[in-house]
Amino acid sequence: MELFLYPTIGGVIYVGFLAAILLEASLYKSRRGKPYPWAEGGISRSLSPSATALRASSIGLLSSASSPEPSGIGASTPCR
Amino acid sequence: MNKWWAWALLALSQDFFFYWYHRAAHRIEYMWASHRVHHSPNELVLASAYRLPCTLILSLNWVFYMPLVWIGFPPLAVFGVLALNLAYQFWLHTTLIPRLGPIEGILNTPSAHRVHHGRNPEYLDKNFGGTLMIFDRIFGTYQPEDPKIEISYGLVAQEYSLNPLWVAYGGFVKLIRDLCKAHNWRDRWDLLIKPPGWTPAPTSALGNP
Repeated sequence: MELFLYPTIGGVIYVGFLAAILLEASLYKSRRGKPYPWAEGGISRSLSPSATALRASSIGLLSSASSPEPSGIGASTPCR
Repeated sequence: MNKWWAWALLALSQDFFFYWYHRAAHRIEYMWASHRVHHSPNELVLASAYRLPCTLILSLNWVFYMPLVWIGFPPLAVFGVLALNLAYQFWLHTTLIPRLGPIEGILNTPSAHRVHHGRNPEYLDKNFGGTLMIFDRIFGTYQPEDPKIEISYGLVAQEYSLNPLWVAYGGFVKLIRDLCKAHNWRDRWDLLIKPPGWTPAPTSALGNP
């Protein structure tokens, strides 16, 4: 019984998650006004460095966003 | 484990230990070297829920769940509840689900988790809970989403590499580089256990601190 039960549960969860991702992708542009990240070459490329710098400057993160490595962040500053 | 309350107690206890694992993963550089992989996407979508590190065993996350086994919960039950906890967190990784009214601040929600993934200064190191937000409220790390703040996602220094090896192991490469550059063992130890971004005090050319 368990031989079939657990793979079935896992399969249902897997297919459910996949369906949720596809649903999110189909709704993304109409809700967020920009393409789903995979349309631009992957999640990490969804923001170009220049666009990131613009957004970062608006929230006070320009120094860290303009550099590929953390810089000027002291031990007392939460940094991730 | 044939009583319903035993499972409820295990779920609650597991979320407590998940909170502390997760908080440590953000505040201890050695653990962050693994966990940063999950925070590396610059957009929050459901798929990013499964950008997970493959070095968790190395980063000692399992140590945090050992007390559950020591107090008598079967290891298989602990593992099963942990799997359910992580499966629950899948739906949190989206920007399309708005705030959910009265359950905000009690259960972990997409809104609370957007704050957790934000790199805005006011959102760093907040909302560590897995399924519940009560431990964040108890230990002072709960932060509700502010609709006036546009959230920027990803690492403080955003990751642009599409090289999966770099995304998976880059944190450890950077950590090893820093360890090699350190001047003494005290600094090396501190680099391992202090929060991400910590750097040893600069040493002048004359050797004075």
